Amino acid sequence: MSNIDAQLPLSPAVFHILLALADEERHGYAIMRDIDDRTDGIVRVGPGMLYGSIKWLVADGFIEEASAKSKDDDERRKYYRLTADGRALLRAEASRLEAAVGLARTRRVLSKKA
Amino acid sequence: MPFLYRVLLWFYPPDFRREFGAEMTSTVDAAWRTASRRGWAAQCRLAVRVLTDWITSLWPSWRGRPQPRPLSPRKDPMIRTALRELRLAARVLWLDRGATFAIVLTLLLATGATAAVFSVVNAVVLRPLPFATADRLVAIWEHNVVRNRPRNVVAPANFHEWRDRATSFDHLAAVIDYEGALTGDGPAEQLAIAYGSWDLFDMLGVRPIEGRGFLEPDSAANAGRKALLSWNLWQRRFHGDQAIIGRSIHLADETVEVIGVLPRAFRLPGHDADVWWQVRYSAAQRAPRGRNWQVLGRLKENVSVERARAEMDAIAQQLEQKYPAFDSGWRATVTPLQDDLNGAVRTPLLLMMGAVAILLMIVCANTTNLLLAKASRRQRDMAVRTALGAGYWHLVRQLLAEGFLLSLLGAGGGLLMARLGLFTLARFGDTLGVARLDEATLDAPVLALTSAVTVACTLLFSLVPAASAGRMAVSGALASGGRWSTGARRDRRMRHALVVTQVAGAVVLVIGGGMVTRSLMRLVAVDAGFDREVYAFSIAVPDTRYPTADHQMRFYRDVLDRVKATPGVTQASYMGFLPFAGPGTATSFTRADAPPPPTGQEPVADIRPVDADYFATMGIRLIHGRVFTGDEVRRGQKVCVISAATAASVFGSENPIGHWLNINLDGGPDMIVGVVSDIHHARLSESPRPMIYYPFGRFPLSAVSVLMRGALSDDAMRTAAEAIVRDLDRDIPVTEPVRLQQLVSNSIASPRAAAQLVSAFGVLALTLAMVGIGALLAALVAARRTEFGVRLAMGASPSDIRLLVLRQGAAMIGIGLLIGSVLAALASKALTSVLFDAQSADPLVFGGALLSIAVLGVLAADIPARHATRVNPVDILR
Repeated sequence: MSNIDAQLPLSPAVFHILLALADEERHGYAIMRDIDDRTDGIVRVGPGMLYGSIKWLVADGFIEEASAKSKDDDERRKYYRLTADGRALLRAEASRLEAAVGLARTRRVLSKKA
Repeated sequence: MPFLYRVLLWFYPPDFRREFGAEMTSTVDAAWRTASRRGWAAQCRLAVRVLTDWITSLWPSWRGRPQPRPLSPRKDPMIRTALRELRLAARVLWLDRGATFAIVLTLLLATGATAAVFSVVNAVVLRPLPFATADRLVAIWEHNVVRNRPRNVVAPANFHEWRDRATSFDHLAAVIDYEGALTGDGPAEQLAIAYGSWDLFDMLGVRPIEGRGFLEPDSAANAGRKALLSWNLWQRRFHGDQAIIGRSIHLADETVEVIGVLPRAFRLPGHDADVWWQVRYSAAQRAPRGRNWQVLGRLKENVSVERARAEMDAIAQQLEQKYPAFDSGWRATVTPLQDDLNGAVRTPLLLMMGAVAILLMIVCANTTNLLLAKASRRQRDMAVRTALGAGYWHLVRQLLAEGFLLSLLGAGGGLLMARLGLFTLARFGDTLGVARLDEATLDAPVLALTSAVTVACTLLFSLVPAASAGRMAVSGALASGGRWSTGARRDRRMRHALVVTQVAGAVVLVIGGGMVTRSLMRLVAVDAGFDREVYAFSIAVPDTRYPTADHQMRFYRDVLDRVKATPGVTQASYMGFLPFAGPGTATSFTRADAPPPPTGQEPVADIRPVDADYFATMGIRLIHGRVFTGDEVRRGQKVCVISAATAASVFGSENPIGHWLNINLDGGPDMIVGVVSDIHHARLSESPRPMIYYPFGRFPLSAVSVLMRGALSDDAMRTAAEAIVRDLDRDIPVTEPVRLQQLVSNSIASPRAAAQLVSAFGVLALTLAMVGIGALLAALVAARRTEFGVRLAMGASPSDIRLLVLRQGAAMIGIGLLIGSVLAALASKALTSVLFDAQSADPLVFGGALLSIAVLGVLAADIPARHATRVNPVDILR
């Protein structure tokens, strides 16, 4: 899994793309919408950034194309889902962030149980 | 926005675009639909978001960064400053929309033309062939020294001798084009087949993607027929089925085992075969007889082309000793394969590049002029800023930003134009006869060139006004109120020089266009010597089911009888080797009643087997004697009809009827029964070659062209032909149905395209030059309004003022015409070498071009001149 450690820290865009795929398979536009909704527009991922990241994530085996497609769907769309490696990568980044937040707490940067 | 995004997508790397382009447009389409429902504010927000995303993701996508991270425009001070300058520049350009539009339009035309032409030159001439050791590949031809034919096809016997003797090559491979019908499952289909030596693909470094390639045992004389399918055929006919490997197909009446499939990208230029099968080497090929192979070779590492040439020369001399009758006067030509393929198109393409370069120069001159005019209008603006404390670099940075935006708009639009142009050009690739034209794409070198042009334009656009800003005296500019002050004299001189440059460039391009067009007109007017309304189609009969000449002739006869019986068809016949449809056979011949010329210097003529009605159907005139009778054609009697060119070259003014010729076919003398008018056989630009016709029955061919004449449409002709042939034998396909007019017209597609392109450049250049003259004089008139007002008040007549302005224009035009004619005279020498029947200083072209440019130039100058007369002295003096 040294492959995973070498990727950390993830860029915010990549982290949120993986997060968007954590609970279900989505196509590109759905990923963008999900990120918009969850972050209230603070993290902005446009199509170029999105597919640049997807290209890299697919090539390194962190996500893969899924076959799921509803009938009325735009046929240019492809669905993506996390692979086991991708889930591990997301977990690794989340733990890293958790550790960072924990560290901030011990230094009393954040109030407990905020 | 969705459309714009498709345009923006082109800037991503091609592989990325192929992989994700459709998804990305789908995403933007969906986001746009959602935004449209929410109103225009949401649309604007989306547009800004998509554009910033495009800008920030473009660079990482080309760099192929492992994990894309956005650039952060909010944090980086450099980017922040740059964005601010760009915003300001955009506002300035928007305020001066008219000038911006003019500049962007000219730039767009220039970069578009440059990118399109350069990408073609790059694909055809500069880019190496797509083979592993392309720089070591050579084409080897036999060179007939006496007849000056350096690219003659090779005798199999000599090929074998070369393989035995030459040490410069690690491979020598033969390629022979062929065709045949694929029969069996599905409709019969005529396929292009190529014979290739067993090691051809090893030599090229091409490996089949399915199955295996040829092996040495496959080249044995008694080896079974093996075939490699092209990727296209595999997909089209066999639906990409891997099970085809090892199966047998029925091709050109042979049973052939499919052993592999070639890669999709594989193309050997000049040999676009659907199926490759192996050359089988046999002892019979070693007999010195006939030349019909093409030979490619790969030089050993560290062997130069010169060394290979020297060695092949020595071998040719040895072969001359060995086969004096066959190889006397023959040498070998060794050329790098790339040069060999480009030979014919290199000069025209480089000339095209020259034309584009001149166009680019005119455009730059024009744009600089527009910018100088802008700069002089903005002197006050600059002066105010300087007075308020802006540093010199501050101003330059601002001008750079404006130049950058202008070039970006121009280059972006230019790439769009180039793409459109290429799209159109690629469709004409085959008719233009330019190998590899369809490979032209807007790839990295083209983008690099366009970027270089962009950077050059940016610098030019920004620095010219910047230089004038630097020289400017602040107080002077403020005091003079923006009028054309004396401090700008150097600018003015430069602007005059720029207009002169434009006129001179326009002269060169218009004269070039005129020469190319006139040459084309002469070419179109050439009489082909036959009726171009004749409709033709080809059929080929398999030897197995039509084993004898009788069988074959009977089939042709049956087809012909039915064609003649078709309502609307007035005349019909058949023959071998249709004019303008590819090469035919030629051979040497001698007079039977005169001493023969020395070996190797016999006259050569094209020979054609024809039917009795051939001459009448084609509209070829009979000059002396008679044509063949039906009986002579059927029985293949030893008579011949010669063309006027043959008669003139061998018999002079003597009447050839009743004389005998020894034609190097089967030895026996043939009696000349008639003389007919000449026809062009392959090119209108060449004088008609000597031709000898003989009765078809003498050497029946297994493939013929059937000719039809009548008042039927193309479709009706084709439908009738297909029905007739299918009715007689459903396994024989009708191929190449075409009207002869189309064949002749295809043969001049290349000069026609050149004429259109160069003429378009000429018109464009002329328009730009007129705009340049008009704009400069308009600025001059605006600057001298006060002076003109004073003059008018002092009693000068309006026509004096008009003349004053016109004289200035005429001086620039005159100098431009002078310089332009000198340059054009030099350029026309280069042009005549590639044009048909052109003279280097054609008075009509030169006179016409100079006169029209002079008249149009003066007309352009007259607009501001008239304007000058309308100055009201009262307004000025008040």
